[in-house]
Formats: sequence, C-alpha cells, structure tokens
Amino acid sequence: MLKYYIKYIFLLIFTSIWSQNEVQKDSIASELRYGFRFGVDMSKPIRMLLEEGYKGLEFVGDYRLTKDLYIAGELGNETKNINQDGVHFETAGTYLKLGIDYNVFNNWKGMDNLILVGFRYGLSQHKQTLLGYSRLINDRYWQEDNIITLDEPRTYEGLNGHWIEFQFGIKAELLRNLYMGITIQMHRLLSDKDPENFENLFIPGFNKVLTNNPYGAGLNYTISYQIPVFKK
Amino acid sequence: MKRFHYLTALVILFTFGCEPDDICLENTPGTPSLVVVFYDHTQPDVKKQVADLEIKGAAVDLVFHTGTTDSIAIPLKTIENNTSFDFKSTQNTTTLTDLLQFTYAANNQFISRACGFKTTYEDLEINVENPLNWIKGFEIINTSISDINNTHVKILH
Repeated sequence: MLKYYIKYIFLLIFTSIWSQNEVQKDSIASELRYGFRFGVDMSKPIRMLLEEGYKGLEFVGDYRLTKDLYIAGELGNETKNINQDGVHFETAGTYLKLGIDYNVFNNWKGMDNLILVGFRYGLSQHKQTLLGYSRLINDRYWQEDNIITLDEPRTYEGLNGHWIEFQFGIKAELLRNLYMGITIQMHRLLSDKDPENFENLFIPGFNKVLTNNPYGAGLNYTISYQIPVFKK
Repeated sequence: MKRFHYLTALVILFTFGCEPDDICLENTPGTPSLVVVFYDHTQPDVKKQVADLEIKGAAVDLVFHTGTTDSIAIPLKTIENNTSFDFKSTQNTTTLTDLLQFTYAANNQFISRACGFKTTYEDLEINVENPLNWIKGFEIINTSISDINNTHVKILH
C-alpha cells in the first residue's frame, strides 16, 4: 500500500516537472529566482488525526543565498502525552531549527526542483508534566498498588534540548512558486536539561528520547510558497 | 528510488519502532529490601544462624519466611513510613517472638520510562515497644536503603 502511495507521489512530482518544463520552454527561461519561501508541515495535522495524545504545528522557511545554497529553518510547537508501562507524562514546548540546505539536483533550464541535503542546529524550550507512574517492586509481600496516579501533576518547567540534525529531502515546484516537499531527518542530541529525579522522554522537534542512545528521527511533508525578491 | 524506499523504511522504523527502552528488563534493580544479618551477641563480629526463624508482617496472616538462616532481605512498605515485623525463633522447643518496627522516610526515584520509579528509604530507625526476648540488641549499619548490596541492620542474638 505504502509502495503505491510513494509511487503515486513520485508520479505527481515528475508529472509536474515534465509539465513545467513544457510550460517554461516558451517563457523566460534560464533565470534563477531568489526569494523567501514559507510553508507549513502537513504531516503534523495528519499525525494529530492518527496519533492519540499528539498536537503539533510547524512552519518552515528558507532563503536562497546562491544557486544551490539556502539558509533554512523550522519553527514549531509540539505537545505529546504518553501513557506507558512505567510513566504517564506530557511534554509541551517550542522548537527552532536553523541551518542550511544544499541542492544537489541539476535542474533543466527554467526549472526549480530540489533534492536537498541539509544540516540544522535545533533547540527546544519545553516543560514536562508527570501525571502518574508505576513503581518497580520485586517483592510483592505487602501487596501494595504499584501504580500511582498523581492528583496534583508535577510540572517541570524551563527544560531544554540542543541537537544537530541531518536532513535529506526533495522539493518539487507544483505550480509556479508553489512547492511540495518531503524531508527525512536524523537527529543527534547534544545536550538537554533534565527535570530533577526524572528525564526528558520527549523533546519537541526532536521526538522520542532514548535512554542510552542520543539519536532520533523525524520527517516532514511541506507545502510552501516562494515570494520572489529578484531574479538573476 | 530504491534508496528512498530504504530511507523511508528506516525513518518509519526509527520513529514508530519498538525500542528496548519500552521494555523493563527483568533483572532491573527495583525497590530494595532491608538486608538484615544476624550476629552472635557474645562475639559481635561473628555471624550466627537463627534456628527456625519465622518472619511475619505484623497484623498480616501471610508468613514471609521460615527456616534457619543468618541473613535475610525483608520488604518494607512503600506507601507508609513504617513497617513492623514479628521475628519468631524456636530454640530448645521454646518459641520466642520479638516485634521490631522500622521507621523511615520513603522516596520515589526515577529509573526509566519502562520501569518507572523505585522506592528508596532514608533515616532508618528501629523502634521496640515490648521488651525483647531472644534478640539481645541491634545496630543500624546503613540508615539509607538504596540497594541490597550492603547490610543495613545487624541483629545480635
């Protein structure tokens, strides 16, 4: 099913590439458009529908510096409520990722599609609330309930995370200045401020944090619009 | 194209996959028990077995331990701040019972997302309400109980 879906997306992308080529053959061709591109990540609202306890919003943007180099970034907000064996908690916060995108795709004249290799520095400001937990009691002689629900949830404010991110993605110009893109992201956590007697288990923008593994992953699916500033 | 398939699969695996982090391993040290070691009251450095020791929580019907031993790990309550145990010993057909009450401050410490928390204890004290029969004395070696690797309480008999 997924295979067909991916093929369908590619068909869409390449159809638009071919059609664009034909359209632009007759118009002004070899100029490069420089400008700001703004967009929104459509995978977040989809994830909100599919995943319980998740809320998210992400804006993306970039600015073209040279033919293939862009300054790029993402600004977002995520809330995730997880109730699993050991803990029940909610993390909420804002994140910013800044860096560069490099286009490795050789466009035909007049076309502006991208295969991007990107690098980001990411940081988050978030809070984590402990709603309940279970206690590991090996000897159950006293038969105490090991599940604790906190009547007054414990909120740990002022937490943060710092990470670097490698991105690989594609952007296709569907209509003039309107782009659709898919990016996959690999993160590596550099440092984070943990709550006392607890840990960052989810970091907005970074995703799930593993105990003995600083790596994480994510993806986005963007629709963006380019505001051309000048051509050259 | 093929590479993209692999990358997509990898990302899906990374994002939604089940990591070992989600499973609490069976040998993870959890809430520690109180380690009690029995010594000879005439030679306080020599361990001495307690004949037919029976340990039972006060006001509970279930017996925790029976049998001759010189050391034992007994579970403390995690919600209340005290636990009482009856220590019963049968020597030469006479059975003697001593009641010890352990008081402490219980704290919950984070282990991991899958294992949750464990309870550790601070400021351990032992209270005796009735005169002791077969127990001649006791000594608290460690007032904080965070693991079961060390002796916490020494009982002389």
